[in-house]
Parts: sequence; structure tokens; C-alpha cells
Amino acid sequence: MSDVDQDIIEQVRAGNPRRYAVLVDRHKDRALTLAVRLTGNREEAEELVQDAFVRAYKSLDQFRGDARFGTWFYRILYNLCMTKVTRRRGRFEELDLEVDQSGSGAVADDEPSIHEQLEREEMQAMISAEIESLPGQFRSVITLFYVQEMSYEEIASVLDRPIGTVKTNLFRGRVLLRERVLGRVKGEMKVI
Amino acid sequence: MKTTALHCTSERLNLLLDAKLAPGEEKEMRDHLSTCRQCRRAFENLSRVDVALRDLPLITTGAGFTRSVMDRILAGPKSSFAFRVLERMSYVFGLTIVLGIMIAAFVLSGVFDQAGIEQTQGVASDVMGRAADTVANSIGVFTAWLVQYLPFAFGKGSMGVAFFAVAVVMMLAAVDRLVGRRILQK
Repeated sequence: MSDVDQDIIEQVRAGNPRRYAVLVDRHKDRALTLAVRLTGNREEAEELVQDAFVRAYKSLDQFRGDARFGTWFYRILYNLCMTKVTRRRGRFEELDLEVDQSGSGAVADDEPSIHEQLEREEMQAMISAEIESLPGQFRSVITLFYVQEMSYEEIASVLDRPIGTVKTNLFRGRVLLRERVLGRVKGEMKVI
Repeated sequence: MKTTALHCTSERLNLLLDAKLAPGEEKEMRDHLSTCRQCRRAFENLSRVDVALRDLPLITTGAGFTRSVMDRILAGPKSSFAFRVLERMSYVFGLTIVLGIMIAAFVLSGVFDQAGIEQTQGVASDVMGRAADTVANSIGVFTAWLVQYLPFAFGKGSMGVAFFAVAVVMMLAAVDRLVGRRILQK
């Protein structure tokens, strides 16, 4: 785990609870990004991130330090987000989405190039929008991998899934993203 | 190298992207990419998506986010409705004791003469008597109303009273939850 996080946790445990604010500052933006990606609602996400930080603080005695604080904290946050999404939709989002199996197939013969001239901001906006519309199991893995910069093992721990499933979902998620971005680029090229 | 027909599978392209292939496999695949335009384009597209994902900006929290979290943490556990009522009543008790001490001090120091005290006692006694009558009448009217309009609550003896008591407790719990949420949101 990060030495900085570990130091802060030791200080909080030693009776200086205000030091926890540093830990919040270090993780809040990444946490919010994950929560927004999972819930699709900014206000709801901010409330959930607050709840997760408060819950993590109250459970700090249970944190053994085997893993990074981030891995442990994002698991709390992920569970809160999933509970919220489940309550909202009345079922686990991960169960109701069609899984595109194209990730294991060969590349298409007529695969066009993602336009090299595509502006960076335009590409980011496109990717952001496409992440939001990905099936839940791909969205959470991709966000944890790219935003939280977690390893396969850490993601498996946060999501409580086997590493093989994490790898598969990451592959399929990326391929699905690539195909959707290509689809949009094709669509825009037709319009032009 | 694993391919379908003549092209790489998406899984292999992903493994190459994540540098998860064995050195020999990686070299073999790169050799293939250098000669196969379709696979090279697919890999480039995948790489662009990968780069764009890594470049995605973080969503930042609003101003005062950390302070809100710390306020909640440092405020400690939320007290119950009953405790908050007692807490507020403690101020009334404290004020009553202070006023009592002040009045006793005035009386003992002779500020009030005997006639004035007797007159004040008479007025106070009169007011208290009227107030007691009013309260007793109100309770009587309310009880009569309950018996008339809620016969199920009183018609079957202790069961009816128990039902009524449970309803009151549930109502208080609902109020407690509402008050708690409001306090929490502040």
C-alpha cells in the first residue's frame, strides 16, 4: 500500500482524526469518477463517496493493511454504488445487459481507422459517453483499470471476482469500446 | 499465433496491448502486424482507445467536499430523538433552577414583604387553578373524541390500548427519522 496513506492511517489511529482529511483529499476525485461512472448521476455519486469515506473511517480499525488503502476503500464505495443501482433498478445491472461476445473474435476485414485527426477533446468526450453506456461489468472494470490504475489482482479484490473474469471483462470492454467508437466515427464520416 | 482465418483475435491484440504476451509470442505477433494491414489497423485503433482512456480527465468534487466529510466524521454518532428531546428539556430545567434560586434569594433577603408575597401567591394560585381546569377539560374532551371516533382502540380493553401505544411509537419513530434526515442533510 502507499506509504503516504499508511502514514496518515497511523496518525488517525494514534488519535489525530483530522489527518483523515488528507486521505479524503488524496482519493476524492478518483472516487467520484468511479462513482459517477457506476451510477451515472453526479449528485448521487458525490453523496455515495461521502458515505464511503465516513464508513471507511468508522471501519478503519478493521483495515489490516494487507492491501492498499485504495483497494479496500474502493471496495466499500463499489458496494455502496451497486446497492444504490440495485435499489434504483430493482435488480443488479450486471445481470440485465447483453454481453457482446465479439471480444474473442478476429478483427474485421474492413476495419476502418479511428480518424487520426479526431481532436483529443472530441475523442475523450466520445469515450466518456461510450463508457457510460457500457454494460456494468465492463464499465466497472475499465474504470478501475484506467482511472484508479489498479492491477488485475486489485480489481478482482474490489469486485470480488476471479482474476480471469476481470481480464475477460477488460478485454471485452475495450473491444466493445473500440467498436462503438468506430461505429460513431463511421456515422460521422457518412454525415460529412 | 492464434488467429481466426488469417487475422489476430481481439484477445491477442489486447494481450499485446497490455504487454502480457511471452517475448517470443510478442515478436511473432509484431512480425504479423508489420505485414497485415487489417490487424495493424485494429491494433492501432485499440491503442488509440487505450490512450484516450488513460487521458480521461477526472471528475472533480465540489468545493467543501472534504469539509463535509470531516464534519460528519467529527460530529460523532447522531443522537436519538428521545435523547435530543431530553437534551432540549435540560435547558428548561436549568433555567427553572436558576430562576428558583434567584427568587429564593430575593425572598430570603427580604426584597418581597409578606403582604406582597401573599398577594402574589393568591394570583398565582388562581392562575394555576384555572390552567389545571382547562387542561382537565381538554383531556376529557379529547378522550371522549377518541372513544367516539376510535372505538377499536378502546373497545377491547388492554389490546386496544396496546394498539394505540404501538401506533404512537411508530409515529414518533417516523418523526425521528424525518428529523434525523433533515439534520443529516444540513
